[in-house]
Amino acid sequence: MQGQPYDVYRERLSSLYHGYALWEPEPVKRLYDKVSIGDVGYVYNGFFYRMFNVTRQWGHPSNQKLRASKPAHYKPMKKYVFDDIHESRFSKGDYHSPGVSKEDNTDFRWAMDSGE
Amino acid sequence: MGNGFRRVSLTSSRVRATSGRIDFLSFSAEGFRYRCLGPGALLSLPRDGHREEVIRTKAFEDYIRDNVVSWFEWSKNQRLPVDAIEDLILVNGYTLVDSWAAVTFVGRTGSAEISLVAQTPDRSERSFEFPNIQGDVTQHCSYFNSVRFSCPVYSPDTDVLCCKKDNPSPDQCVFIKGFRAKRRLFWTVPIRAAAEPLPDEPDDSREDGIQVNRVPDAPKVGSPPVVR
Repeated sequence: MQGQPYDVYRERLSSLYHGYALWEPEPVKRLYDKVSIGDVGYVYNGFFYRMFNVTRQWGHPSNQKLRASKPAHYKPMKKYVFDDIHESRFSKGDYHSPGVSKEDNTDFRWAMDSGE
Repeated sequence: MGNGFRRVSLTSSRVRATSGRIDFLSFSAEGFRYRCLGPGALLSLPRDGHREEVIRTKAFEDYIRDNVVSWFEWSKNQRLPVDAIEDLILVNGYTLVDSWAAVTFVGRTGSAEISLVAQTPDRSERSFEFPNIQGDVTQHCSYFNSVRFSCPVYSPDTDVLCCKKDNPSPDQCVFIKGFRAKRRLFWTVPIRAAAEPLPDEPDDSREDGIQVNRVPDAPKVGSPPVVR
């Protein structure tokens, strides 16, 4: 539903070309430890829910979290596809949509300096 | 810091606090105020993250096109909350970080404002505070749910929740890249010669196709990346 924080967040931050912005970056621990290439899933209430990972055989423990039989015609992706993975550093800092303005919080600095 | 400002503060270590303030002696900290008129969003990362992305994406496009229908049927059989084929994502890239603060300016009440203080006591510990929130703003940050941490401590002198994280490896995914697909219905109308006999089948026939799109799709509000 539009107007939910996770929807506004996704729509506004995804415009920065870094990808689909997840309002809830925390992995759903009962399903996976962290997002991986080849994950197939969906986003619900800002969380990414992984269903399975297509780099692995269906019998792999990480694909058995839902204890379900495999989808029809399931075959993992060919391994050569993952030979070219580009790794890079993602710089710390602030990422915000165009309408957001930023300024030093002088009140905060004063409170620190004065020891309040 | 008054005027009914709500303090929501989390830190990954025990911090000394008196009279509702943090003792900053051992901390480096910086605070900024963010304002937004209407809907907006902010992600603040105090430390570098790690990004991985598959370059050979054509294989992903082909793979999701060939399999998404069976995945969707499978999800329905599992009674998962997947309403449409285009809800499914095949991930080909991600950005992982170990700490973050996220803010949504929901935009229902015009202008909104929030202050954010990021503290970095040392390399392994960091925290956020939101000491000033005005307007229609929703915010949260990593480590907000203390159930993940080994020794949550609440100091009665302040409203600062202290937590310690078990595993410092980055596992928080702030951005996903991938592909999704949707059914595309289109009608084909064969062109026939005037003298051609009437066909047994109707002239036009419907064909189903799968259209693959990148996740996210083309942005609705365009702007180059903003990093400060």
